[in-house]
Amino acid sequence: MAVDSDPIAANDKTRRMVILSVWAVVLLGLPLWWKTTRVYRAELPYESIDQWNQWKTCQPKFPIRVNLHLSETKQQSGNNPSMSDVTQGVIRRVQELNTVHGGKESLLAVEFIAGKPWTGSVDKDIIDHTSTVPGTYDFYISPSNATHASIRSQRQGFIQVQSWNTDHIIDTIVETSGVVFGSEEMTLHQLLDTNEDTQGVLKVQDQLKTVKYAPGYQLTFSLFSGDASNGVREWKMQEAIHAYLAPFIKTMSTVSKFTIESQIQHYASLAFTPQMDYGSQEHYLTPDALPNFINAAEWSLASTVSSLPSLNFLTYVPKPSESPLVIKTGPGASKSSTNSFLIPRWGGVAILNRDTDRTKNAKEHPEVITVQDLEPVMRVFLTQLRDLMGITDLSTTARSSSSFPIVFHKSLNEAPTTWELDNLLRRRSAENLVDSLATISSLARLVRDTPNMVVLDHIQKDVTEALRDIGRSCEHLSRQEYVEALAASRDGLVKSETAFFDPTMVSMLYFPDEHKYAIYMPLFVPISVPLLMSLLREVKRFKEKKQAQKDKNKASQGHEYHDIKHDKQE
Amino acid sequence: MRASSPCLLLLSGAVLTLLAAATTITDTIPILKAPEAFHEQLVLKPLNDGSVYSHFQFTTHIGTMMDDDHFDGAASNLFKHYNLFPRSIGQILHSFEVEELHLTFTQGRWQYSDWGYPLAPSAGTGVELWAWLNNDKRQIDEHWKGLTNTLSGLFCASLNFIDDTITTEPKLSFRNEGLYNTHSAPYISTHNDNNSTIPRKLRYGSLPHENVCTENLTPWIKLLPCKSKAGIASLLKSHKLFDTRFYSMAVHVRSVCEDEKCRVRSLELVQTITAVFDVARHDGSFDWSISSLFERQITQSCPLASTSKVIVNLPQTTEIENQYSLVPYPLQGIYSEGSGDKKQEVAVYDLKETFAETTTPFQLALHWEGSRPKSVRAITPGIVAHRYFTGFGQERGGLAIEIRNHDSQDIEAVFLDTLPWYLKLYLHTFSIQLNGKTLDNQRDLVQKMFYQPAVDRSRPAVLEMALKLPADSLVKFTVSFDKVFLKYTEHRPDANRGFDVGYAVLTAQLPREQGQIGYGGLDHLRIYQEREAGLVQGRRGGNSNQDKEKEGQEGVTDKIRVYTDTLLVSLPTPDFSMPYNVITMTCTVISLFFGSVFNLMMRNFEVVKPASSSKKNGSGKGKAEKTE
Repeated sequence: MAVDSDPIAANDKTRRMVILSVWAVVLLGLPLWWKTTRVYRAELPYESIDQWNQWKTCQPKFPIRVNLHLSETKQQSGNNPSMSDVTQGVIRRVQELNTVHGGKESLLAVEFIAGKPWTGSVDKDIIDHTSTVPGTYDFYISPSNATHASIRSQRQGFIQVQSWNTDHIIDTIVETSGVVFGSEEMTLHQLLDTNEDTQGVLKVQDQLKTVKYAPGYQLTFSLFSGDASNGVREWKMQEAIHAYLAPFIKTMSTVSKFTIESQIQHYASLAFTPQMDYGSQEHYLTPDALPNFINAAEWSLASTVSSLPSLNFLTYVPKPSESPLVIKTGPGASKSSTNSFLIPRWGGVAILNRDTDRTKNAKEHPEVITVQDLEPVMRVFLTQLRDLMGITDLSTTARSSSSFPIVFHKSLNEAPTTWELDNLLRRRSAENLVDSLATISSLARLVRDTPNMVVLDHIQKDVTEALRDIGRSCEHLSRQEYVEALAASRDGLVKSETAFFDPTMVSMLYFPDEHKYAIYMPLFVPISVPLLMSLLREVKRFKEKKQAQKDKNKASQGHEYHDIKHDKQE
Repeated sequence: MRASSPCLLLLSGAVLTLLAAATTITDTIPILKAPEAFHEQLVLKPLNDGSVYSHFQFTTHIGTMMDDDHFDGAASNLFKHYNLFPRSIGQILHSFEVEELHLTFTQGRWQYSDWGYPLAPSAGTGVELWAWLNNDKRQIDEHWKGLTNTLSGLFCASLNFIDDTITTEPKLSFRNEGLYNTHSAPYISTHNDNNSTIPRKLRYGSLPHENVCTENLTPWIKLLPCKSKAGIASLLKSHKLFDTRFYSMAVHVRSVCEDEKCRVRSLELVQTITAVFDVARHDGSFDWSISSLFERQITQSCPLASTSKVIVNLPQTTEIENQYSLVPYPLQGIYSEGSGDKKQEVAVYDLKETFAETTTPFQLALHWEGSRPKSVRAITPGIVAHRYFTGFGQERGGLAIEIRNHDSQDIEAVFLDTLPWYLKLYLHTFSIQLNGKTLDNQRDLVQKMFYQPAVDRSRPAVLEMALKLPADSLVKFTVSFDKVFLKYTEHRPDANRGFDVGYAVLTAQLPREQGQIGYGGLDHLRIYQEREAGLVQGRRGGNSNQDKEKEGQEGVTDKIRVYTDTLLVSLPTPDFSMPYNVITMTCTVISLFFGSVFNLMMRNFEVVKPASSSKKNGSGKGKAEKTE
């Protein structure tokens, strides 16, 4: 009988080997299957995204250089203030002010430099010596009988001080620079604020009107004529654009380019009937009705081909039955002087009432809207365009806070001045940085939260490149290269948005893991049942055997054969 | 006026010869500005089977100051400031460098043998798009793709499905109809037909399966300066328009010359809607009026339109006079074209004049005596073409094309057939039968032949032939093909419906015959537009001797296109649940196999000795006994 025990043991061994090897194949195969059927996910640089969000990698700084020029005019009463004294004084005062404001590091790093003295009269040399570098300005200080500052359009400021002594000069310079750069400092602070609580609210208020930054915009000027029976056939928009808009477009070209189109839509009636004020014989629109003004379904405003963001400027000529049409709160209330309104991030609307009594004007072509007719409308559109572009009018923000008059010179036809343009460059760069970082971090969050999402290599590439562009922009900023910084931040924004809106990011969301399991169910379930059963049985047998071993050790030698035989019969 | 009208109407051919205006333009003036203008027209014609054919035509001209020397400056401004010309079309033309654009949406089948030829040049069921694009920068394929996608968005249609597998470039058909465009290089001259220096290219695509409905009409109406709020377009009510036997809607953009030397040119946008109303459907009466057809009225002419006319091609009655009455009778009287058997009377209503006098809506009705015509002249279209599949089964089939020439003279025609790549044509099986007899010498009939073999999944097969159709003949082409077994994902969602195979197009120069609507095409209506007073006056006065000669000749021809029916081919269709079945089946088989093999390996087999089996209560049921 001892011969029998050997094949049985050998059988056991083979069986165990079989189970083991099959399980080994299964265990090795599972990860392989998992890997081959898994969605592809390229790794995003989460860590550096998080660091960027806290501005740990690079804190954006906006250096500003102000050259101070003192007048050479000698005062009879002895001590003439020296250039170095004034400059040192100003620098010291600014530092003191900063520490007073809780030591918060200011984003606009204004640096004062002692410049060349000047004659004191605004002559050709001065006019020619204008700074062409954004962020570098010249302050010309001269004595006068009243303290007064005038900010010229060409990056120049002329400060006239009443008493010609160092302290007063320092005071005046510090105050002027505070007025000129103060509001911008605030805006930038709000923009770049990483504090989650305050971030949203302030941004919404500030950026509500301003259209999102783009390297190019499509401006569409549309004449909407309520009814062709009002006699309007033609408008001289082409000429009006040339007359009023050209300087603006030219100056803005460092920030954004514009393409301009105009169209006329006849028979473009309002979707509702305006109310009638019988007292003044006027039809009027209340501010509540203005959101419904644009008849989007009927008026063809969208561009069929252009991929640039478009801004629409509508001139609405009401039909005779609605004419004259004004905007006011109710009957008897005073009407809007411009008869126009701005639609945030979309464009502007101006209502142009035609003179109903045409015989009085005795116009040669009553069906043509001339450039003169368009002038008030174009002025309104220019103001609206400035608002939409986010150009901050320095004179309005500065008026209240200074102790002496500060005059801001304007350029022709509302074109942005160099001060406003520099301001815009800085703010747009900051906005782009914040926007692209926000896009990237929400992309990162989305990818982290959606495990089924496919992330292809080019997304990863776009994200890293966007981060690199952001870094580049930040470096340019710190080197006072504002135009380059804007270009880099724009690249970053474009790349981050390409990554975010990539079509491959959504496609595979429809193939969740459940789908995969369902397909392989007919394979896995029938295979796993015998596998598991055999494994369990084997474990059970192993235990029994162990038990038997123990029993055997306890029991006498003589029972051994009997036990085995007994086993066999089972 | 009346006496001279026949020759005027004969004047306008497919190729425009604007002669009279030549005198008004002197050589010293380099630039002339053509006025921006809009014209609206409605042509109505009662058909012999009781249907009423209606054709709306809206023509918008964009003013251009074109001259060979002043070309670019004008072009850059042309597409920036829009007035009557729709901006959406202008932008498309500009950004994709389109020189000529023809887009037609059609529903229903045009019955050539009953109705003659339509005024609208395209009548194939579905959508047809063809364009001449400037290929200066070798970007034509991108531009064509952009064009189809943009038009698809503009007209809410599936035009974006016109991809490489559908697009063709016909060699003989669909020649450009305009003379120049802002994007073309300065055009040499009108009488020089050598176009080889102009790098423009044709792209043609059609979608036979596309349905046309209100969502396509709405954007179409938006292109009109007066929308559907005033003028003739106020008749466009989609409920009535789509309840017709045939409906076709088109946008054609091309450039035209305003003077003989083509100094002044303008870009012309022609929008047409063609509908055949089934008047007799309800009560068998052939009477109709504008309000019964459209359920709307014209209350005013479009104030922006230079001309606004309703034109009625009166029925051609024979034998009995005064079978019908037209109410109101036109103020200008009735023009007649042709003479004798071919006489066609035309009533023209000028809405501008009508509404200058009155503000009551424009009414127009035609009453037959006894509600039905007693005798009318039958329509015999010169060329009719049919196409059908032969053969059976899902493996192979055949295609037969029948072209019947009813004319008494030989006619030159170009035949174009585009077949999708999943029908594999065998050109060696191509045969021609003339009047039932197989032709051995095909050269007499087929003068030129272009064949582009299909490439799987990338381009269709194109068969194009220049034919000379003998007089009074029936020509039949046959060719056989194999049907391809498509991939699982290549089938449409409604796979068992089959695949639509688009129409074949026959382009022919037909001798002009009066009384059939289609002769003369869209240009025919230009004489009613009075675009330039001098020009039209000249034509009306018939002061051109050349044209009088032409009238006398029989040789005046019109270019027409005849569309065959669209076909439905059923390809071998798989069972679409198969992939899942296969996966499940395979998995089950593998797991069963694995289970049994695994079980076999888990078990011990040992030989049971018969000697010992007798000991164990005779349990010798098999040679082997299972052990666990």
